[in-house]
Amino acid sequence: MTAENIAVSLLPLQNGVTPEVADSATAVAVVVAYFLLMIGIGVLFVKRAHASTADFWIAGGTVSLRVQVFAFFAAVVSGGTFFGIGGMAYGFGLGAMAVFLSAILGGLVFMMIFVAAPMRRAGVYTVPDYLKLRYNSNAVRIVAALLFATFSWAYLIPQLTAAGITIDFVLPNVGYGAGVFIATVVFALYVSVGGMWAVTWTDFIQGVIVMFVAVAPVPFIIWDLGAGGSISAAIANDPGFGGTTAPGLFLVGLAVTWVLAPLGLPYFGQRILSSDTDRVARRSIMWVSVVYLIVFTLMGVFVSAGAMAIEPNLADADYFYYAVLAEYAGPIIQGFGAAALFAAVMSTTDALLIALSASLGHDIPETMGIDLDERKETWLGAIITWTGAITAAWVALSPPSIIALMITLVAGAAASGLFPAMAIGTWWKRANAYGAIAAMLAGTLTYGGLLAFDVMAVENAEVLVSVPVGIAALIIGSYATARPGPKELRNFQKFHEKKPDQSITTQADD
Amino acid sequence: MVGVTAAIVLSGIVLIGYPLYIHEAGDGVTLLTYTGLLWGAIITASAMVHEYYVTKNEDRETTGKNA
Repeated sequence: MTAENIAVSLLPLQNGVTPEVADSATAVAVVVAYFLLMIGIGVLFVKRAHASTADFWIAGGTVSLRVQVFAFFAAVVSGGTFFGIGGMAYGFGLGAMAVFLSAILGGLVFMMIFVAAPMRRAGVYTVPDYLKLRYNSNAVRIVAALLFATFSWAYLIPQLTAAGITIDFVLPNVGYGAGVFIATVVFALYVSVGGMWAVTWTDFIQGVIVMFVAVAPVPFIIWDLGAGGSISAAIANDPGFGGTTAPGLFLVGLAVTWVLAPLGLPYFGQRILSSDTDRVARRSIMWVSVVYLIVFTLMGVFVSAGAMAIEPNLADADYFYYAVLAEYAGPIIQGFGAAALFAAVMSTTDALLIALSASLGHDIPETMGIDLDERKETWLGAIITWTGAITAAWVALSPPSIIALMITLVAGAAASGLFPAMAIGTWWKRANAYGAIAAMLAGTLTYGGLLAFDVMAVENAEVLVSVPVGIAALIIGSYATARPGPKELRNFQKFHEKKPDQSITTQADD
Repeated sequence: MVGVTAAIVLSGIVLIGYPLYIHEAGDGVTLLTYTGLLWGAIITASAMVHEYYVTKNEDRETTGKNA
């Protein structure tokens, strides 16, 4: 590909350069076709999604292993990972990228071995529902639902930021702000009409697309610069690229955050609950970790190195992927690249929207004794989906930071607020409702307080304090109050009964 | 479960902690990059080992009950 027909320029913008697509019309056509496909899938599942609340919230709890692997992969990837892994390498060096990538893997595997099977065996619609059964407490369910809704909404912001960056790349005349709102409307549309069925099948397709497109530039980079040459060229432009320029405490905080966060991130729990069996829930995460390691090691190392070699002065580290596409790909591939980015963003955004609407539309009305029939509940879920998406889009117009740091910020809150009650409570018999509520409140408030008052000397280090505070609150709160009663222990026992490949009927409304 | 958790945590402390502790500087690919990725490989391998043993035990229990 010659410089002429690439016709893509790295235009100066603010403090650096931002890449633009070669032939906007062709790339836009690819992206529009992709959007129509996703909306079409949403429409296809309208009837099935609205057949029952179990279908709307967890696709009936019947998703098979093959579909779940790619759907889970897509949900894990997110705009944060797609931009974040390579963006971390571009911004802070390969060492920071390696820590970030491996910590996410650690979190996934902890989720697999600690909570996936027990949670699926509970046979509920939502994670707050699971916590209610575990602790036999409506108060636990309300607090958890509010935290899940808050974290889901906050996590939407970096996803919509990534969507805005993508539209800005494909349609520079439309710009970032309009891009955020266009993406928001598409996401909310297919989630609100198709529920978890649409989310699962779009995630499956998106997972496959992301897997291939993430590594698509790698052969071009190796062909042009050589495997070692791309890294050497990157180091020549930035001597810190081969290691890291980030402070050690920042990396420790990053690692702790991502090792613990998946246990508390709302959209992962919702996907576990949609699995056909507890074994499918576990095994899908295992295969996701394998695919994730391979795909994002290749992408994180070579694509970010290629970007640093091509252009060391990008306006934002999150532009690294587009800088490489702009250099090596024609408009059709650039369109596919943009579609893959949308796929990564959409697959997490839709799962977040489902988790948000499930928390507010299912858990809170049920706990408050408001009796909604299935039709009213799914329509309430649709309204919450639109409200949450539009308000998050409004905040995303002025994103506070780069995407990797934004998702880490929210993940830190999830780790602080939900990890002790979710993960430790799943395995520690003595934990009770008082301890769980104390842990959720103490962890979240400590994390929020440390952030608000800027107490820690280094970013991302807040979890090093707030997670131990949450764990201490769980232990002290549980020991200071009565032992769990027989009903709590009966549910606890049920979650740990090993019944291989046994489908579990959802019983959220028990 | 305890073994896998210990493997992940201890390998993390060694493979991330040690390179950060020695705080190397340089203009090549540094130790943290290699050990960081090695940690990811260990985590993934641990997940596969865990799933293998859990599945084996579950199947054995099922076969035992059916016999």
